[in-house]
Formats: sequence, C-alpha cells, structure tokens
Amino acid sequence: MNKATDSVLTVQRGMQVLRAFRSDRTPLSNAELVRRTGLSKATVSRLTTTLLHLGFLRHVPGGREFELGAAPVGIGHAYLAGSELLHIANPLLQELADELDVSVALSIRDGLEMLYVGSRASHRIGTLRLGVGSVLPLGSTAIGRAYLWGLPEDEREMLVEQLGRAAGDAAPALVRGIRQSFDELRQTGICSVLAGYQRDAYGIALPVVVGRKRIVMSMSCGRAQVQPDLAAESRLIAPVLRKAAGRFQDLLADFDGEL
Amino acid sequence: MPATPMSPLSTRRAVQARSSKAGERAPIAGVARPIVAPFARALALLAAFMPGEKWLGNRDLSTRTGLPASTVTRIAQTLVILGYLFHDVEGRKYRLAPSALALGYGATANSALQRVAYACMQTFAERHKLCMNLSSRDRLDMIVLESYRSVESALALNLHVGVRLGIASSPMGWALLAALPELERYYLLENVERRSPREWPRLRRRISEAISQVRGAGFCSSLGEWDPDIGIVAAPLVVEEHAPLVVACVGAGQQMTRARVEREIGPQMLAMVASIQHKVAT
Repeated sequence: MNKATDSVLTVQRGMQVLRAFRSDRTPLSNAELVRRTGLSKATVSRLTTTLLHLGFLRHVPGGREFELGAAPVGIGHAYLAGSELLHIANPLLQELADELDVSVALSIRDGLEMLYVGSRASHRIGTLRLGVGSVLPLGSTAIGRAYLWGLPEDEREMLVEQLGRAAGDAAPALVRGIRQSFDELRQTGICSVLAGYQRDAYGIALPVVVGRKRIVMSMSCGRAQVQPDLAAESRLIAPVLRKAAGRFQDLLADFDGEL
Repeated sequence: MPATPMSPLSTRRAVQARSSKAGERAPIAGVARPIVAPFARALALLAAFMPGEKWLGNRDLSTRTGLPASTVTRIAQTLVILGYLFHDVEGRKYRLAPSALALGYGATANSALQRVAYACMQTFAERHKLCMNLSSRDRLDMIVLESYRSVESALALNLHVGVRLGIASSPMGWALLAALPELERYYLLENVERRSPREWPRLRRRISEAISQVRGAGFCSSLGEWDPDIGIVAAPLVVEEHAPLVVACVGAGQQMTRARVEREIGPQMLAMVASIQHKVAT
C-alpha cells in the first residue's frame, strides 16, 4: 500500500468514527463505537483521542462516554454560508412549508445514506426533529427512493444492488419496498412512505434535477402524526409539492455551480 | 488594545493539529496518547474554512493550518477522494462539499436546547435592538453556535455562527470560566498561561474580575474596553446534561451604558436565561 491510499484509509476510518455519532446526540463509549464501526478497539481509541484533541468530541461530564463537541458546527456553517444553491432554495422551502403546514427538506445522497442540506418547518410547527445535517437511510425512506428514481437507470440499479447487499437478511423486504416506491414514482412522479425512519412519521418526496451540472436531489414534505392517513395527506401535498419542485428547477435552470 | 477578541481566530486551532505534544491533550483527559496525524490534519483542513470565504487555495490552507504546502496538497486530495472537498483544478483551490455537513453539524445545530435559546434570544434582541449570540467552548476558544441580530441594531460588528473568541479575552469566555468546576477552570487557564505568557498577568487580573462579577451579579460585562463603541454583556447558561453555554448580547456604546446594563439589560438577560432553563426542563 502506498502513502496516498494509506492516508485515504486512515482519514476514512476517522470520519467513520465521527459519523457514528449521527444526529441523535446520544453519548457513545469507545466500546459502542467499536460495535458501530467494526474497527478495532485500539484504532477507535486512537481516533477518539484525536477527535477529543481537536474539539470534535468531548467527554460527557463524569463519564467515559463522548459526545459531539462544538467544532463540527463551524465547518457545517462555513459550508452552508458558501452554497449559492441553498441561498436560492431556502426561501422556497420555507414558503412550501408554510403553505402546507409541514416540514420540508432538500436532500442529497451521501454514501448509502441521505443527507439533509436544506430543511425548513412551517412556522406553526414547534418541534422540528430533523434539521440540516441530518442523515437518514437511503433505502427505506421516501427521500432516498425519490433520489434513486432521479438517477440514470444503470446508476440506480447499481445502488439498489448495493443496498440489498448491505441489508443482509432484510434485503428482500427492503428491495420490495424500493420497487413499490419506484412503481408509484413511475405512475405519479411522487412517492410516499410511512415510518421509513421514525414511527408515526411519513415522508412524501420527488426527485429534482438541478442546474447545468444536473445535480440530483430529492425534495420532500413530512410530518409526524399519530396514525396519519397517508393517502389523504398525499392527495393534499402532492400537487403543491410538484409545483414547488418545478419552480425550483426553473429557478436554477442556468445555475452552473456545484451544490 | 489587548489581543483582539473580535477576530475569528482561525489559525490557532489549526496549528495545534501539527503537533501532538503531551501537554496539548484534551482537558482533564488523563493519560496523553498519540493522535492520528493524517486524520488530525484532515480535520484541521476542513476547519480552516470560514463562512464568507468559499474557495481557499493551497497557500491559504497552509498558512492557516501551519502545515507545509506539500502536506496540504496530499491531505486535500484525500478529502476530495472522500467527498468532503471540491477541487477547482483550473483555479487550484478547494471548497467544502455538502458531506462536510454529515460530520456532526446536524446533532449540534438542531439540539432542542439551542432552538429554545435561539427563540428567546430573538425576542430579547428585538426588544432591546441588540445582537445576541450563544456560544460554547472549543478548547481555548468560544465558538458562536447561534447568532441573531435585531433589524434595528446599528452595530457593524457581526459575530456570526462559527466565529471564535479567546476564552481568556472575551466576556463570553469569562462567563463560561465562571460556570466551570474549579479543576477544569484551572486546567484551561494553565494552558492559556502557557500559550500567552506575556499577556498572562493582565489576562489573569481581568478574568478574576469578571468571574467575581458573574458570582455577584450573574453576568459580566465589557463596556467600551476594546472599542469605545461596543458593549458586551455575557451570562452562563447551564442546563443539566448539557455542556455549559454562554448567552451574550452586543450593542453600540450609547445603548450599553453602565447604568442601563446594571439595571436593565443584565437583569433581564438573567431572567431570559432562567426562562430558557425552565422551558428545557419542562
């Protein structure tokens, strides 16, 4: 192994540990990180020491566990402040959220997961659980499936295959669910999934393809509700979401940058 | 003018990535263990980006991180391969890619405590026509996590999210130090002393003055100290099971007279802190 690939592997492992903290704010111990990443105990311990040292993690007061420190906020904010696409998208997402009284997200793929890059909630919703930077599964959510549908077919099939492989025993059910959503997308241009990520929460999503670089993203509406009537919600939301997505793509038709 | 507390102190954190001296380990962490250098450098490179500067060249990155240009090139390439940076080959510069958001931004930025605090700060800022911010400690810096500026605020100073202020040289840092357990405070101050031995006697005096102010009044202030036109009031916000935070308001000199700070702004800010604590607890 040469020096360059060595460095890629080391950094990738480090990021794996950092990313294991996800968006749920639960403090994690070295042992739990070993379980989540599959890396050796010695490796995890060296990586957490590094993360502590740089302010990405901190010790939970009085415990052996770690939680995220303040450093990631600075990086995330620097990215957000520099993204022209998001400056254009955010007012539109807010409008959509207020009109439908839901939370709205714009997401892209990050490995085998979906990452919220934009997120706005209706002013009437007090408890937004998932904000910008949240990471959700690619295979089981409406945003993930809508994203896949926006891709060229060969790329889409390659990812579905990867998702199946990663799911192990759960693969047949997962792939069946994905195909069902693809059928819905083929027929209506939109897919809706109940409890793809959180119980009692639904997502209704469609793919958007943005700018000259044809960046594939998905735009979604969601709401947490006890036993929601998904079909009724979808009838209400779909036409408005479709219109907003169309407007978003038109607005950015000449956009030549990256996300 | 003392070491200006108003500049984003981007270089300090980055330079640390270069060395793994035993003395620079995480606070109160116990044994010194070696850090993983390529990973530390990669994180330092990502952290070198500030809001408002989208693209950074090799030389900027090298200056900010204290790493040699050849190392910057290698680490930046690694980050491009892993999807955390974009590379503009023609312009020979880099910018953050969206995956940088997946490194923990979501959890911190969306915490319930922070959202509650932000809403309260917004109301307060509009009522008094001031700027408000919420900050947390990152090693020897305070880093701004939330920032709200009243539309009617006349202030030029913008402490936006991500700005760093020295823990020993800003009212936000003093308020935090006052809220920390003694052992942790001593540890941090020892590091400040080691890092800035020449300024230490002056810093130490100012810090203990501010800590007594927090003990007595609940908040500390710095009025016209760096800039005759700027006043800052800061108070710790301590909530169980959370790292200590600091709420601060920044206003123009004529808004922040000593009398007004002591009778009106300070006490009302403490009432706001209490209401944040109450809202989070229920």
